[in-house]
Amino acid sequence: MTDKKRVWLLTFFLLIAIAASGCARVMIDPYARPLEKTPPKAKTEPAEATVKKTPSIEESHKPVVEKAPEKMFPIEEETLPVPKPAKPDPRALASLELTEQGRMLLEQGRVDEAMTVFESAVNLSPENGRNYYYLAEAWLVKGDLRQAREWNRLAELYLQGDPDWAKRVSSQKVKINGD
Amino acid sequence: MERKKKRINKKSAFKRVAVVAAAGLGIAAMLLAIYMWHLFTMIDNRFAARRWSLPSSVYSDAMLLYPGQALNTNLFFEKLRDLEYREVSGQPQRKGELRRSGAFWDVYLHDLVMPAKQREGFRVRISFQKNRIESIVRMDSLQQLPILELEPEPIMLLFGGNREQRQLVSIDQVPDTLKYAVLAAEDAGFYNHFGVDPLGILRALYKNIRYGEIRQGGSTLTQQLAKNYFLTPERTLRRKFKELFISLTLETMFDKNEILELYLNEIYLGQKGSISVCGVGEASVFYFAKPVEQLSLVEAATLAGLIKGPNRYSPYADPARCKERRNAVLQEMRRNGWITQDEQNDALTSPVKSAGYKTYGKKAPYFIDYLCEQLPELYSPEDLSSLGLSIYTTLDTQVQAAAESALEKGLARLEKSYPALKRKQADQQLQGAVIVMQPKTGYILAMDGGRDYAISQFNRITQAIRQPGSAFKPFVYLSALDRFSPSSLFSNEPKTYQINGKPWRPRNTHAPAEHGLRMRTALAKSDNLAAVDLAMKVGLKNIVDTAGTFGFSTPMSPQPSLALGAFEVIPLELARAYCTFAAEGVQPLCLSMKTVTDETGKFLEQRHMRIERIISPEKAYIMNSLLRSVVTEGTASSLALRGIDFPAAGKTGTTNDYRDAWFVGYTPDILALVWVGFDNGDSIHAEGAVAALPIWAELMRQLPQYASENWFRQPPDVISRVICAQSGALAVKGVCPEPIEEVFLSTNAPVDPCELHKAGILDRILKGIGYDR
Repeated sequence: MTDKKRVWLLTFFLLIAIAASGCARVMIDPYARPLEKTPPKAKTEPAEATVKKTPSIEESHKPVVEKAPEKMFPIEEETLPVPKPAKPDPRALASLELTEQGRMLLEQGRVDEAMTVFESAVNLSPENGRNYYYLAEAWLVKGDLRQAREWNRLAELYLQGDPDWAKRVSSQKVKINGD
Repeated sequence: MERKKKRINKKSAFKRVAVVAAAGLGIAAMLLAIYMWHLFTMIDNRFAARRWSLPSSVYSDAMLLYPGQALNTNLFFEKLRDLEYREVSGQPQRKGELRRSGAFWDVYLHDLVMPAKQREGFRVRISFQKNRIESIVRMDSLQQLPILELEPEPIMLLFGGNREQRQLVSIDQVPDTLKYAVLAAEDAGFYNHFGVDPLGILRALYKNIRYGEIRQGGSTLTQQLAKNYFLTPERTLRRKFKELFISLTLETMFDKNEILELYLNEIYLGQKGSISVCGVGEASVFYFAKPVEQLSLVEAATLAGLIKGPNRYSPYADPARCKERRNAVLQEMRRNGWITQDEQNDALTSPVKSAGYKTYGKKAPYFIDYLCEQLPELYSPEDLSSLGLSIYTTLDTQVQAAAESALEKGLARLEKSYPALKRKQADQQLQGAVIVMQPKTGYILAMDGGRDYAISQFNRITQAIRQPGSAFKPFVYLSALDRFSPSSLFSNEPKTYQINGKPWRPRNTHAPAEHGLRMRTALAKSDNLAAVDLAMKVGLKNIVDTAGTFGFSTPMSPQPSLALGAFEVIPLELARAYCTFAAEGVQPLCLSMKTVTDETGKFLEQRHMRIERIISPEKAYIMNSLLRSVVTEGTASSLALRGIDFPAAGKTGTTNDYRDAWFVGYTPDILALVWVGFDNGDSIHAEGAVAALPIWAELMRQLPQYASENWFRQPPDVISRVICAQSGALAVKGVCPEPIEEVFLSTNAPVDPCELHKAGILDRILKGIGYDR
C-alpha cells in the first residue's frame, strides 16, 4: 500500500468514525434529553423489593436545565436507590434462589459448598447484595476477617436501600470489627 | 562277595540317582516356589498401588438455566450436544435424550455428579418464547423450576503416556448377561479351570487345524488378563511361560469373580479418536451411551464380541460384521444354556444400534494451558494422569465459543478490509486475543490466547507483554481524582516536555486544540495532550504508585509517556485491573480453577473468590461513569451501531504506529478485553475502535444472557451537580448555555458558580426590569 493510499484510507475511516460517533451521539447522548425524575414508588412486596434495579446511568448524570442545582440534587434524601417495581429481573430471581440454597448450606455448616453457591449467585446477578452479606458470613466462619470486611462493604453498598438488610449488614460490620 | 558288592553298588547308584533326582526336583520346586513368590509379590505390589491409571478430567462451570433467561438457542443446542444429549424424534425415554419441537424442548437430564452434589436425572420441558426461556417444568412432578443446573462439561482429559480412558465398574454392577456374553465369547470354561485350560487349548488346536485358520484362541480370561495387564505384547516363548505362571498365581490369589472384574475393567474395547476405550464401563457409554448396568442382552453380546477385535467388529466401523460377530456370541451363549431359545431368536434379528459419540475435543486450549500452569504447584504430572482427579473450572463454554468465533471473524474481516495485513506464513499472521471475566468474582469465563492454537501456542493473554496505549489512561485519570474532578479542565494545546534533557512533543491523531477540555471529555475522546497535561499536574510518581496498587507486574517508570500507556503490560493483568472498576473498587483474584476432587468425589482443593480493596467505591463509580462516556460519546461510540444497546463502559487503546489495538469493555456483569496486533510488532494500520472494538461487540451480541440494563449503584458519597459544560464550574441557572449534570466525590465537588457566564446574571436582571443592553 502506498503512503498516499494509506492516508486516503485513514481519512476515509476517520470520516466514517466521525459520522458514526455523530450518529451515536444524536441517538444516545444523555445530555440531549431532559431530566426525568423518577417519582418515588410505593413500597413493593418483599419478594419484589429484592429485584430492585439500580438507578440507570441516565439518572447518574442526566442533563438538568431548568432548576437550580441545590434544589435539583438534595444529596442526603435521594442518594438511596429508588426501588422500581417494574417487572422482576429474572436473573435476580434466579440468583435469589441460589442465595437461599447457599444460606441453607451455610446453616448446615457446609461453608465451602455454600460459598461456591454464593459465587454462582454473584455471577448470575452482581446486583443481589444478599450474596455479599452471606459471603461475609462465610468468611467470618472461616476466620478470614479481611475478606469478611470486604464483602461486608459490598453488601453495605448494595443493601443500603433495604432497611431490614441494611440493619443486618451493619450489625455484621460490628461483629467483624469487634472480633 | 563281589556280587554282593556289585549289588550294593547298584543299590547305592540307584539311591544316588534317586537322591540326585529328588534333590533336583526339590531344587526345581523351590525355584518354582521362589519364582511364584516373586510373581505373587509383583502382582500384590501392582494391586496394592493403583490398579489403573485414570486420567484427570477438566470440567467447565455448570450452566444455569432459569425462566426469563435470554439465550442464544443455537449455542444452547450446541451446549446440549456437547453434554452428550442426543436428539430423538419421540418423547425422550432415556437419560441423555432431547427432543426439540418448536417452542419447547424436552430433555431427559443426565445424572448430575458434582462435588458434594448428586442429582438423579429427570425429564424437563424447557419452553421458549422467542430467544428467552419461558418456563422450566419438571415432567414427573409438573413442578416449575426456578433454576436448573446442567452438568459441567468435560473439556479436557489429562493423560499420561498411555492415553487410556476407563470408567471402573465393580463386578456387582455388571449384569449377568454381559458376564455370560464375555464368557461365551472368550472362555466358556472360566469358572471350571484353574487359570489355564489344557482341554481348551486342545480344543482350539483341533478347531484351528480342522478349519485351517485361527478360529479360537486357547487363552483363558486369566491368561488374557495376565498378558494385557502384566506383560508386553511381543509373542515369545519366554513371555508365554511367564503368562502361564502369572495366570496360575492370579488364580491362587483371587477368586473367580475378582479375576473377572479385573478383566472386565482391563480389556481394550475400541478407539475414540486418539484415546483408547478400556473396560466395559467406558465402552458401554462409548457405544451405547448408558451405564453398564443398563445394557441389554443384544448390547452385552455386541460388547463381548468386540473383545476379539475392537476396531474390526466395532458397530461404528462395520455394522454388518459387528452383527455377525454379535450373533456368533449369542449362539455360543445359547449353546452353553445361558439364554433361552426365545431370547436368542429375538436378539439375533435385532439391528445393530450405537449411540454415536463425540471425540474429546481440545476445547479452550489456551485456558487449559493457563490452568495447567497452576496445577504443578498442587499435583505432579504423574498424579494428574493417573489419579482420576476431577478439576472443576470457571470456564463458560458458551462464552468461550463466542469469544473464539468473534475473534476469528473479526481478524478475518480486518484482513479482508486491509489486504496489507495478510501474511503468507501462518505463524506470522495477524493475531488477536480475548479474555472474558466476571468482574466481581474474578472468574475467567473464557480465554482465547491466539488465533489458532495448532499454529501458535503462545498465549497472548497471559504471556504477551504489550504497550496498552490509551487503554492505560483510566489509571492515569484515576490518580487525579483526589485533586481534580470530572469537570476539571485540562489543556490540549501542544506542548514540549523535557525528558532527560531531550524534548518530547506528544501528539493527538485528530483533535482540535482547545484551551480547556473537561476530564470527562478528555478521557472519552482519548485526548493525548490533555492526558499528559493531567499526568504532569498529578505527578508521574503518583501514577506509577497507582499502577502498582493495581498489581501490574511489569515495570513502569515516571516518564511523561506513561500517561499514554507507553509501558508494557500483560493483557491478563490489564483485564484484572479493569475488573476493579467494574467491581466497585475491589480487585478480584483471577480464578480459573474452582474445585479439585479425587475419583470418589472427595474435596482435595477448593478455591474461592477473594477480593482486595484497591480504590474506594466512590472513585470506582466515578471511573465507571467516565468510562461510560467513552461508549456514549467518545472513541467507542460505534458500539451503539454495532448492536450494543445496553449500558456498558470501556476504553479503546492504540499504540504508536498502530502496533496494538485494544478494547476493554464491561458492564456490572461481564468484562472482556480484546487485543489485536502482530507478534513481531508490525503495524496493523487501524485503531482500537476499528480493530478490537468490533470483536468485543460481536462477542457480546452472542451472549444475550449477560446483557442487562443493570448499572452500578451510586455510593452515598458520590454527588451530582449541574455544571457549565464550558467552564466546569457550577452552572448558573438559565444563563450557562450548556448546563450538564456531572458526578463528583463529595470531597471535591465544585462550589463556585461559573465565572464564564456569571456576567449573564446581570443581563437577566436588567432584562427582567425591562432594560435591554
